[in-house]
Amino acid sequence: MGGGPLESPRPPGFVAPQTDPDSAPFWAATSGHRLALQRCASCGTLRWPFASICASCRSRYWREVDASGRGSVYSWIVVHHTTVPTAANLLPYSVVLVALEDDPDILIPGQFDGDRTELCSDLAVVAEYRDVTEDVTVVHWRPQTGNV
Amino acid sequence: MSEMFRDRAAVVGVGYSKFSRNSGKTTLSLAVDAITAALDDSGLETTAINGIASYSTHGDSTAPSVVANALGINREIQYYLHQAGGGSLSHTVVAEAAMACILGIADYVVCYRSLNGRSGYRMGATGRLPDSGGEAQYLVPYGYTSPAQRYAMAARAHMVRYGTTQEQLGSVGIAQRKYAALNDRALMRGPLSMDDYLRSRWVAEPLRLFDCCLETDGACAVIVTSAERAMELRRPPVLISGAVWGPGHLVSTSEWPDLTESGPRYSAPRLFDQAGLGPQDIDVAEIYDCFSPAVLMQLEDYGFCQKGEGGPFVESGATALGGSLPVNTHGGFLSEGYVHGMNTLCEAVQQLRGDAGDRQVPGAEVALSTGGDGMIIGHTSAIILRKAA
Repeated sequence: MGGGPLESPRPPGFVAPQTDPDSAPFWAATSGHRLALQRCASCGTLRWPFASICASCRSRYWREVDASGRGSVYSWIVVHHTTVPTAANLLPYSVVLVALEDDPDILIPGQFDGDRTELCSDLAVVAEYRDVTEDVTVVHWRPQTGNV
Repeated sequence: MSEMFRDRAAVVGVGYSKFSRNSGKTTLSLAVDAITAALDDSGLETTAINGIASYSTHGDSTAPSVVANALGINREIQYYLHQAGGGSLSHTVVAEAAMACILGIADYVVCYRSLNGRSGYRMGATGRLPDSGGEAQYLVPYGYTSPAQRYAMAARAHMVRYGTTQEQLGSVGIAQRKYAALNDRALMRGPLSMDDYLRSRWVAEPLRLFDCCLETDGACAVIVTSAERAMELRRPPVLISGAVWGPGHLVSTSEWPDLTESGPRYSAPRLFDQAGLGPQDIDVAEIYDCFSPAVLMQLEDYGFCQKGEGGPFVESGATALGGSLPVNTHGGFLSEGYVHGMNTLCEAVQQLRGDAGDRQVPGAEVALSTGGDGMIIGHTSAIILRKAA
């Protein structure tokens, strides 16, 4: 799957991420519509978010691997009140915490693009990509369909 | 190790500024109000203070050196501490002041938290664009910006895993409001029914308005000294039996993939060990209640009920006035006001001195007082206090 045509620029209420040297490879991957994880080159532990050191074995060596892009909803919220004035016209919206198929201990937050009334624990979801700016793409999640 | 700390320092004075939604005062002025009230409570002269400690976030307060200068004691200060952060630090600041007193680095340390949390810098980020660097870069692009939303996510996980109900979340605030009705300092004192709760607006499902603390302008101060000095003062000393610095939940969830566990899951056993006490010894618990699920998870993780049973425990009335474990007898942040954990500690001290008036827990001798449970910031703190024999 891919993100399809580029979405229009995101309303200013959803603030773009400030990337940094640790996270740059992750955001570079999302720009290419891939969901990247780190795999420790020493102990093999998968990890996210991106960091310079393995919390399991303290190795500095890692390689980037693509996640399947599939997971299940671990938890979710429906936001009715935002503190960001320019996001007010987007209410209500849903945020999910997705347990990745690759390692369910990795929980990645993202917007839920689907019918909120269908949200439930363990709902199977798949990543999609939203281009926020020329440089930054963020990850949304939608329910998996039969042909994913 | 614990013998070097246990019961070696004491809280000898507590003080409050007025709590409001719009103080019309500087955080310096609020700090001075609380500190002078604590000095009056202790019977100490201002010039006795030679240590000063606080915590603040994003410049939302006035630094200890500036407060000491305003009080005319800055040249005499031997111990300063100014930690960066919110309520997770409330009890670490007091515990570190205790260490300074035990070691003889200072004689009397005043610890304070002063903020215009409603009229000034608002923790929930109202009125400004959220920071989107560091851990926030993985949240903010999805409109996942506020502490209420983070706790809502944890509350949902708790509901999914343990069957916690909306009504059980609501029971937290309802029980606390009954205490607040007996506390003339509390900002919210009117009756709160389950119907009121269930009709209140959503902030972030599954949290409603009355699951969320009250952004507050105010300050609280406590004065800490050694146990020996405490015995010479006019108020009944309240000993610091144990203190703990512990972990908490961050975005890097692969290190901590269970949102239903609060930091005290790991730190509480160390705290009880240090104090030589257990959950069964606690007569009153003042639990950091930024949001209602934080109370449920801490009640479980400090061992007052089984994991997952926080909802039924509160719903049973155990934490209410006259219950087996009175919790947040000042009304908590949900009803008294949100002074980032320092008002939590002040209430615990008053309960042990028998100063709590109509909301007094009869015969209270040992209290647990907790700082932020670690969610979001990644660390937690707590103190066990004991009435001196």
